[in-house]
Amino acid sequence: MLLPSPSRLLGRVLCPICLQWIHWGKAPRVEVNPETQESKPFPPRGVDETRAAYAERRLGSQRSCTLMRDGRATTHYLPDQYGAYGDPIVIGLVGHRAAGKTLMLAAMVEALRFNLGLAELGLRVERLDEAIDQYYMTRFVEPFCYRREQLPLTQISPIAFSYVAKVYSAHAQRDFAVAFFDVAGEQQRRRRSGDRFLDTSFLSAVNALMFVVDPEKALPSVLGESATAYGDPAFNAVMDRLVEIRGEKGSQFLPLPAAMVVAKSDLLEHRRPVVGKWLGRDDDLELRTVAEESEDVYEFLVNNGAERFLQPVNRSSDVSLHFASASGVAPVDGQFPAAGFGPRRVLRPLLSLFAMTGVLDRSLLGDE
Amino acid sequence: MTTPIMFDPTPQVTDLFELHWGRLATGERVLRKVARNAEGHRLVHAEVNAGNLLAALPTYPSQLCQVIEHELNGPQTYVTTTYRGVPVEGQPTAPLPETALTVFGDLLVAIHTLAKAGLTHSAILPGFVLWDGEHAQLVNLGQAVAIGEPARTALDPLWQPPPGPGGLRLATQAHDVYQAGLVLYCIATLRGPADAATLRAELARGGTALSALLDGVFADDPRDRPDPHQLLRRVEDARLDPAWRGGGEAHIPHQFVPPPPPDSPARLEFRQKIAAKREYRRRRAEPAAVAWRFARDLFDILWYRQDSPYSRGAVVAVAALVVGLPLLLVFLAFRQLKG
Repeated sequence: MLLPSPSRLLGRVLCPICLQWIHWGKAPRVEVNPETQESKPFPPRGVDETRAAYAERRLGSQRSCTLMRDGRATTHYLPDQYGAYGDPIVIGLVGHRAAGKTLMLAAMVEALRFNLGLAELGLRVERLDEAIDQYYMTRFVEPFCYRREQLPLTQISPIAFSYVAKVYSAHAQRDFAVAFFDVAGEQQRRRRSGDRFLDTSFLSAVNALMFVVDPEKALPSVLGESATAYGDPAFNAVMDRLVEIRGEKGSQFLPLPAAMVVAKSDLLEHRRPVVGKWLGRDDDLELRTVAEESEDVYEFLVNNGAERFLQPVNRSSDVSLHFASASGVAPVDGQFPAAGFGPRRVLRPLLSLFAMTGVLDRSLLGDE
Repeated sequence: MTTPIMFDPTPQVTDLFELHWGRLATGERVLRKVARNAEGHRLVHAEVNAGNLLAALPTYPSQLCQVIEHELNGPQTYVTTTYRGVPVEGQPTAPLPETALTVFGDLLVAIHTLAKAGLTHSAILPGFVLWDGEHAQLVNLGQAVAIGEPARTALDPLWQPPPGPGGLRLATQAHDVYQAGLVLYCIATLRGPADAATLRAELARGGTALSALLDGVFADDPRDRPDPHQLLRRVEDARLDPAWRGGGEAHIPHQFVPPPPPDSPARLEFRQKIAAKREYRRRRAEPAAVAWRFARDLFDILWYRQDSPYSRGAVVAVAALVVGLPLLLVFLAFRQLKG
C-alpha cells in the first residue's frame, strides 16, 4: 500500500505561486471580480440556500493565499478545488521564446478534454475551475484548434495557472488536480527577484516538466540551414535552478520526471525517415512504444547536432522523448492552412508524464 | 523435326550459344539455342535428351519449357524450346505475395515432374525461372542431370546447397528443393543468395509467413529437407493464409524486416542512462529512503506552515520523543550496568 504523503495526511498544499504551505481546509474562500481583481469573502451557505444554488455559486469562488514579506502583504488566488484532491500534479512547460510551448499546450488541453479514448486508460478528465477553463478555451484552444489562428507570443507576466484540470485515475483510484504553467521563454531565465510573481519560483513546486525542443533552433542542419545549434538557455536556467533547489546531495539526478518533445516535427517529417516513422502513427494512447520512441528521438538528436539540448534528459530521474506537432503544418501569414492542419501525437508526452507521476501505471511505458 | 517459326532479326550471342528468339504460328514465344562450342553442344544434347524423357511422360506440365525442335547432326547444333514470360531475376520490386507463392508452387511441380522423368534440374536460378503473368516456367533443361549422379557445381557457390552425407553433392530432389527455396527467398525479400546457415538464421529471426513456408528447406543434410509433396501441401495451405493474399499491395507483407543496424553509440549511451535512472528510482523507493523523505517532509510542513504556534510545539514534541527516548534507554542501560 502506498503511504500518503505528509502534505496529504495533514491536508496541506504547496502554493505554486508563493511556495507556502497552505492548510487547504482553512484557506479563505473568496469571490474575485474578474475586472478589478478585487476580492470579497465568499459568503457561507445561507439557511435558505439550496444545495444546488450553493454549488452553483461556488463555481465562481477561489482561494486566496497571502504572502507576507517585508511587512507587506500580497494576495493571489488559487482555484477553489486545487487542493481538494491531495497533492496536485504541477507541470511546467520549458523552452525558449517561440519554441512552440503555447501551441503544444493548447493542442494538448484540447486533446485532454475531448479525447474519448482516455477512458481506455482509466482516465476521466473534467475542468477544475470554470473561469480558468473558459478563459483558456476562448483565448487559446478555440482560436488555435478551431479557427487555425497563430497564437501571439506569451509575454512576461505574473505567474499564473495556464490551465487546470481534474483527472480521475482508475489506476490510482483517486482524483488529481493537474495544473499547467506555460510562461514566456525569457521569463524562465530571469534571476530570482524581489517580485516572486515574476520570476520562476513556481518551478520549486512543479512535479513534472515538459521540455519543448524547437527544431528550427536545435536542428538547423536537418532543415538544410547552416546555422549552429547552441542549446536552449531556458533549459539550462530551469535545470540549474532546480538542481540548486531540489537536487539531492550526492545524486546525479533530479527527482523529477520529464518529457522532452521535439515540437514542430512536421518540419522534419520528410527529411528524416525516423521522424516520419513516428509522426505518421496514430498512437497517442499506445504507450507501450514510448521507450522505443525515446531511444529513437535521443539518437536522432545526438546524431543531428542537438546534444546541447539534452541536459534535462541526463539530469531527470525519469524521462521520455517524443516527436510531436501541435499544428501539423507551418503557419502562413498568421493563419494555419487547412490542408494538413491538426495536432499530431500531442497527448503522448502528457500521458507519459502521467505514467511517471503515478496518475497512470508506470509499466505502461514499456521499459520496465 | 522442323516447325515454322518467325524469328526476331537480331540474335544474341553468348559464350556458349547464339540465342534466337521467335514465335510459333500460335503466337507462343520460343528460344533457339545454337551451340557455338563443345560445351554448347553438350548442353544442347542434354536438353534434347531431357526433352525426350519428359515428352515420354503421360502429360507435359506447363511449368517446364518444352522442346519444340532440335538439330543435333547438321552443320548447326541447336534446340528450340518454349520461352514464356520474363525471368524473375532482377525485377525492381518484390512480386505480390500470391505471385511469389505461385512461382514457388510451379517450381515444385516442375521438380516433381523432372523427378518422374528421372532427372533433377540442379541449376534452378532466378534467371532460368520465367513468369508469364499467370505461371512460372523452368527453362534451361540442358543443366538437368539424372537423379543420383553428381550435381553440377553452380558458378555462384551461394547457390550451391551444402553437401550430403560423406561430403557428396548428389543430384536429388532435395538439391532442387533447396534452390527453389532460395529463388523464392531472393524474389520475395529482394535480396541476394546467402549460405544455408545465414538463411536459416534469417528465417528464424523473421517469424513470418515466409519462414513457415520454407521451414527446413535450407537444412544442411539433404535428408532433412522437406520433399516437393510436403512443400506443395504447405503452398496449398498458404493460399488460405491472408499473409499471402496481397490484395493489390505493391509490397509483400511477409517480406523480412531489414536486420536492425548495429546499435549506435548514442543508443547505447541512452540505454545506460535509462538503466542508471531506473536504479536511482529503485533506491528511492526503498523503505528507508521513503521513511526519511516522509519524516523530512513532515518536519518541513509542520515547521513552516503559516498557522504555526502549536505545530511547532508538535514538532518539538516529536523530536524530543525521537531523540530523547533512545537517550533515555541508553542512560537506563548504563545505570543498570554500573549498579
